[in-house]
Amino acid sequence: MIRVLLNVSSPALRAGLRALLSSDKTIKVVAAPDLLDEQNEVDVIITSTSFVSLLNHETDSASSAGILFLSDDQLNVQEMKRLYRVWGILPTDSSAEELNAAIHALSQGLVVGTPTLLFESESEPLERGPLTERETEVLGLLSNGLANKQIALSLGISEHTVKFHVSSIYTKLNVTNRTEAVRAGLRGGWVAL
Amino acid sequence: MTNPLTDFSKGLTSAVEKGGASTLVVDARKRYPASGIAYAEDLVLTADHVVTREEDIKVLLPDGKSLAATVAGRDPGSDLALLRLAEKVLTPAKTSSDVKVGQLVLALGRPNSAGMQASWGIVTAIAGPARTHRGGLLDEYIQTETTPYPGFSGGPLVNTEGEVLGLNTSGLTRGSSLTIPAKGAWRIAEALAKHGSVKRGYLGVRTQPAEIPEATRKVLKREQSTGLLVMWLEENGPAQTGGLFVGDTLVAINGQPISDPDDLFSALNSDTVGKVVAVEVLRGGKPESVNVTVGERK
Repeated sequence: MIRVLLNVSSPALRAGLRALLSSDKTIKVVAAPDLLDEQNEVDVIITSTSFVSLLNHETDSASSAGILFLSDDQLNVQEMKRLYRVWGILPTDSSAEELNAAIHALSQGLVVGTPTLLFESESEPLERGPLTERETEVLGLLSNGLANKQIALSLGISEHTVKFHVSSIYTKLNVTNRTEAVRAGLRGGWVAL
Repeated sequence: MTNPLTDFSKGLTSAVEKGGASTLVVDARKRYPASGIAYAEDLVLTADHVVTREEDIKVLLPDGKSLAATVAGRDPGSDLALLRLAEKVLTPAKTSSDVKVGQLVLALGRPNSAGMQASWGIVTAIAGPARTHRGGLLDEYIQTETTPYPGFSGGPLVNTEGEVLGLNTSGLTRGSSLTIPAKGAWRIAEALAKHGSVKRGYLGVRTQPAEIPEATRKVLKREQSTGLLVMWLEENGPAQTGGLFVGDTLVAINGQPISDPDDLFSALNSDTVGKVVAVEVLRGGKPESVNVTVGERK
């Protein structure tokens, strides 16, 4: 029996996935609280969460669960290799067959992916990639309303470097000012509160 | 028979006179000094953005006397700074938190030694919370029809009794001015006087807004359509220590609904640091309450 956890926030998507997976009797969808029970290890986690936010999330190396992203955003292969042992990505319009196949593969420790959703960072730039640790720090200080000079002082770096980070944050979050950056950072889960 | 217009006018000049007794010149930036409000006998509250240097700060009293001041504390997020004088010579401002839309108010400034300046209008809106162009969160602000003349930042907005309703600043919005209500500004000033900065609460969570299904809303007995899905917990951070899990959806803190990251930001104000708060979460579709001791955000 393959135990699958649905880490999706939309109830409609959750219901849809349950229905799609119900055709395969070897797959069992488990509820979130089971995660807390060590007896009930999960084999595969399906998530619709933007991978960008998950990249900043320290993965638990002890967990053997494979993670399957349902997303139409491109994934950086290097980044994924660095963060997860077993992972996969499928587009959001995947069929029941594709989903089931992916789950079986992941449960066997294989990496699964749709070629169009994968790229190597050398060949293509990561358009809205995750923020670096430093950028996350800068964004956190922006959310406190600090000016560049004060951010520089607080982090012990030059004002010029702060400007560089801020502009990089704007690009990555696709925003044009501080207010939008903070809002996007908070809504995207990049700023810890 | 008295002329009601003359009486009205006298009312305004009297308000300027009363408010003016606690309005000071703050000279802490190049070329254009700004204004400040006497918060205590030796403390001056002003706008943070008009304090561009921390040395050689001068405060000019209504009687023209010039005194050296030092920075007691700053909170760039709310654009407030507190300056300290060596002597207890000021007349602390009398405040009022009774503000209504439509109320007649005056914006006062003492941008230079030449004397008081004033502008009048009505309160057009009381709004908030809002993110300022600097990125910080302002819980509440007052908008008025008054004209923010140069150097008015840091000065008071007063009612017709000359009582301070808030501190005016043009540092939080582009091209306009707003007033930070006295209640919030004085609370921040108190923290600045004590600690030199404003503490901010910290749970150690990263979240994303998530929808709360209709049926769950009924179980929760709450009307909010969203909560905050916990996606990350800081190792041994306040939330993790308190018993929160990744996958929980935050819905309220101390009974106050949390439907948006700014709600959480706002709920974790300086008063919560070090205190236990009741965090209401949805866990596996069921409501649970978890007690978390709030940490301090660095």
